[in-house]
Amino acid sequence: MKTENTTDCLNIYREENYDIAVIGAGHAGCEAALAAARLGMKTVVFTMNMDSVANMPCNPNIGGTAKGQLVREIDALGGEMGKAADATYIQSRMLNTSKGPAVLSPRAQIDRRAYQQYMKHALERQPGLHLRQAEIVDILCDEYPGITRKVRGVMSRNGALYECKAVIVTTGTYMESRIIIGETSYSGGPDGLFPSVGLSENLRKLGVGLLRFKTGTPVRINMKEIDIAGLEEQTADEYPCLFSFENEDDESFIGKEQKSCWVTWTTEETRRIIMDNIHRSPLFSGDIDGVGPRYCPSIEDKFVKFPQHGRHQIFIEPTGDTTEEMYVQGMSSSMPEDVQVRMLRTVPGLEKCRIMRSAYAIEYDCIVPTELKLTLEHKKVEGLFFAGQINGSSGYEEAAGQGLIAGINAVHTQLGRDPLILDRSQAYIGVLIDDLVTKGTPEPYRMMTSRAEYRLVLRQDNADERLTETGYKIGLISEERYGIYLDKAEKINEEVERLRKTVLKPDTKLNGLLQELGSTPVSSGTTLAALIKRPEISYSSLAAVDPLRKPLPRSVCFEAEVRIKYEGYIALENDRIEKFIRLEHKPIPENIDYDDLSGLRIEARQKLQKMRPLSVGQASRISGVSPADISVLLVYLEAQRKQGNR
Amino acid sequence: MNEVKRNFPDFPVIPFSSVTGEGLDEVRVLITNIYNSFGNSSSEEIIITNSRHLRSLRQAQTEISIAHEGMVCGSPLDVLASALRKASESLAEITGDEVSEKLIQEIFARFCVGK
Repeated sequence: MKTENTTDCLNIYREENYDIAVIGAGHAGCEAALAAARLGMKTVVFTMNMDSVANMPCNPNIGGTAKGQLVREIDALGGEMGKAADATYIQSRMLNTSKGPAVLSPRAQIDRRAYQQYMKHALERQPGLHLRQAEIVDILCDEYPGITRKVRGVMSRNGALYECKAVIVTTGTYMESRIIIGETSYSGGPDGLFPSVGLSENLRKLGVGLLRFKTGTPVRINMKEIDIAGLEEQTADEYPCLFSFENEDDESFIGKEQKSCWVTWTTEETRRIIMDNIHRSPLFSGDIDGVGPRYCPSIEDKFVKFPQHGRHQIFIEPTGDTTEEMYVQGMSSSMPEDVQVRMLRTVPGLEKCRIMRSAYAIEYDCIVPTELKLTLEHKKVEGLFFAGQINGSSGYEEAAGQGLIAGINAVHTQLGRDPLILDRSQAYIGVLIDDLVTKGTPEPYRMMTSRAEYRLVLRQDNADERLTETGYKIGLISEERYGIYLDKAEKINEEVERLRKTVLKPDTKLNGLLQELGSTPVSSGTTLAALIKRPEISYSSLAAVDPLRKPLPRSVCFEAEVRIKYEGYIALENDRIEKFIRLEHKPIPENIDYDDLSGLRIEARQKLQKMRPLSVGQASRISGVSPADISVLLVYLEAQRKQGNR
Repeated sequence: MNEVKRNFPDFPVIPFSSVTGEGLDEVRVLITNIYNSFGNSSSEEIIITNSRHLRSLRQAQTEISIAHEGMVCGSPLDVLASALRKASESLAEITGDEVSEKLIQEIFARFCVGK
């Protein structure tokens, strides 16, 4: 057995030993560390800066389309993000309310500092968890000849050696990061913080493949310098849509004072300034090699790539209750500072604004996620897990979801329990990890509802129904909370039953109401359920003709309504899922030799040999593996099975 | 040869050899006749030769009618989208397209989702 040590630090000393070490206390690291410690592991989580725990260096919001669903799932599994957001939001809104139940997404503007404080405090209070400021520069492994490497510990820049059994790397955008503002560029992390230097080189030595991605953030400005007179105000919802199932019917959140966002637009002058200076943008001068996200282009990118749009929408968003600093969503840029300030002042309402923080682009190292197992453990290094932006994803919610799963699986591997792998029909978290691990990503990966095949079932409202049981079995959902969930589930079932069974007479009262609601009158007895199925009728609009209705929590009424309204479609979606699961649960033997499958095309054979999918379903999603290849694989597996039976 | 003819009295029996080419023309004519006997196919028509393709097409057809019915009775867009997505996926099983990636490309090409 040979021990690798790639650090050349002079003062190496032994620190305490841990079961699990988490490198980075961003959104992925916090969830990973909390999950590991809550499951009884002695855990240490490292942050390079104690004041940047759970930082939001970009948009100060949690949730939004598809991301809101992720947060609800994290909460149902016993994660912290939803509770932290509920404790610190300054504006809450439900998005996509006109497009149907599957795409409804809660979104909250967050008091960024309060969120960090909340999360740091949660880490500090957690028994079994130690929060430590240190930069980890090396991951030490034992090497066994012929087999894979195995994690032994981590080393800090100051020479502290922490032995541990598993390491979860959650370094976000910090590894070898470079800040680019126009012609200026320097080594640096987000928000003026230090980059992580040396760790990625050491990962490379361990055989971990690296990519270079890029992202960016807009300027921050002072509210007192914004002229809101001509701007459109975007106010909060009257009833906040909370993320945590523990809070969803808690009336004490209602009436909390909330902040507004403001909408404005770029002008012809904005375009002129940008186009006149486009040669000074590093994105176009070739100074940036990293691949940026298509879904969140910089403002200069937007003017170049969407010439058909004369102007672009800008949202001015508050970043906290105790600050005047505002986030200018839609104006992310890597233009030089002098151009940034000039273009900013061409936007109505922002004419007198000064920049508090400059916009910048940031390039960083991330890993090739297809080298990971679905558990988020590296295929070549035992005990080495990765989660969050380092896996090529983007977004706080995507990071937190992966962190939670990596934390759970790092524990399960130690304890010899079954890994937690959520499939694409169970959760957006499952879609996220399967996409990253099975397909890889050519750019920072953002979750979208269109990535989920079964989104009618993967709704934000039923995340508890999908995942609480799992969270309870793992040990992250308390007995008490599980009881509350079961109680809610029973109430929903009872209400659905009652609505199905209650028949209304076609009297003048009912038909009067139906007419009022723009619906066709009825001539014979009709159930409440049949009426709720009509698109123009809602559960609440029938209150007047439903005297037996008991006062129920809002969440129960909502769920009962969705179940009845979309019954047929949900049943169809469940049929689709059943077909999907058949392939998904058809395992591929671990020792399969794809060279034995003569009918496979060469590309498919190479990809399968390299990726080694666990199931036929997973194999079918690898790019370069066609349905015809899958038929070949199925025939082969069937033949093997028959041979085995003989 | 005679035994074959005796066992399959209702079928035409043609002796042929792919080595010498003997009787091959007769085989070709016979296959064409059998094929034409299934109906008056013209060359314009699409012929499905693969049972996997047939299954995919039927699946797509079912999903398209689900979406159509939903549209007629005013169901919300996301439930229609689900059926249409499945329909495109079924068709993509034949064409080899990646539905999800194409959809996302289309979305990104038209507007910015933001972070």
